[in-house]
Amino acid sequence: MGKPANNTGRRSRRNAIAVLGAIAGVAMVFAAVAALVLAPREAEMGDVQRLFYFHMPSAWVALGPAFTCVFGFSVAYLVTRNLAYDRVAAAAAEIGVVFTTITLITGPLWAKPVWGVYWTWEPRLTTTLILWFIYVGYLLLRSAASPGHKRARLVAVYGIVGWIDVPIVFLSIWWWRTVHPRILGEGGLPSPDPWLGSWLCVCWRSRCCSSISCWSVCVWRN
Amino acid sequence: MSGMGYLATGFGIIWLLLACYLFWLGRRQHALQRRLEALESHAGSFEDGVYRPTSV
Repeated sequence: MGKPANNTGRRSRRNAIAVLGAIAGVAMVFAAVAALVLAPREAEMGDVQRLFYFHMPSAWVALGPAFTCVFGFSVAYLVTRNLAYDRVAAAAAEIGVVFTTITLITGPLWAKPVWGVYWTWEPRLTTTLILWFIYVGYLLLRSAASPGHKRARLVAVYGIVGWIDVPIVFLSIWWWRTVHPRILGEGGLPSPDPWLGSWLCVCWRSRCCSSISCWSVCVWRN
Repeated sequence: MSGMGYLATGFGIIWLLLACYLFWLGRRQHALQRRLEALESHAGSFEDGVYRPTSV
């Protein structure tokens, strides 16, 4: 009978994921308390503004680490033909889709009491929705094709081309007229509000922790 | 619905979405683990995504 090999490696991976998950859980709870309780109440928008502390970090995690990793590891696969890069790219795409979904849900819930509508076809919202469709398409394409190099090549090219929408989403509020708030200043730096900046950082770090731990599980699973 | 209502709804959806995703990941992980153990119990080992049969 064959002896299972590499059990130590598997166990240490499982332990690392458990530790990451615990850190992510604590960070998320702290971020929730910070956003709901510790952050001051916004004068004009009231309590609904607190959704922003989840909306923006989710968007940052999706656009920044997640989809950019899809791009990077897709390029790495095409250069090296190493399937491990394909698996990492797929894991990153999953994380990106989850956090983009959170962004697309919290945005309209915040918009309704503030703008009076759940949705408007303005540049930032529209390009973000397109981005969501692109990467849902990535995951569907990957699940439809048979595993192997052919699939990896196909989704790698798709992932690289799809990433073009990421800078478009980010720059849309500067390129076109939009009702979406511009949280970054002219030079790309955060607006000078210490409370907003510090609570955003807390929420962003917790999002990063949770996305890293999910990513580890995805990569291991793949 | 008041501002608090939207906040509570948004919050609830975020946590529900993350919980569902983690649950799905866990189930997938468990299924793959069982398949791996079944493969290894017949013969060989599975290292770094490659199946290596044991030499007889």
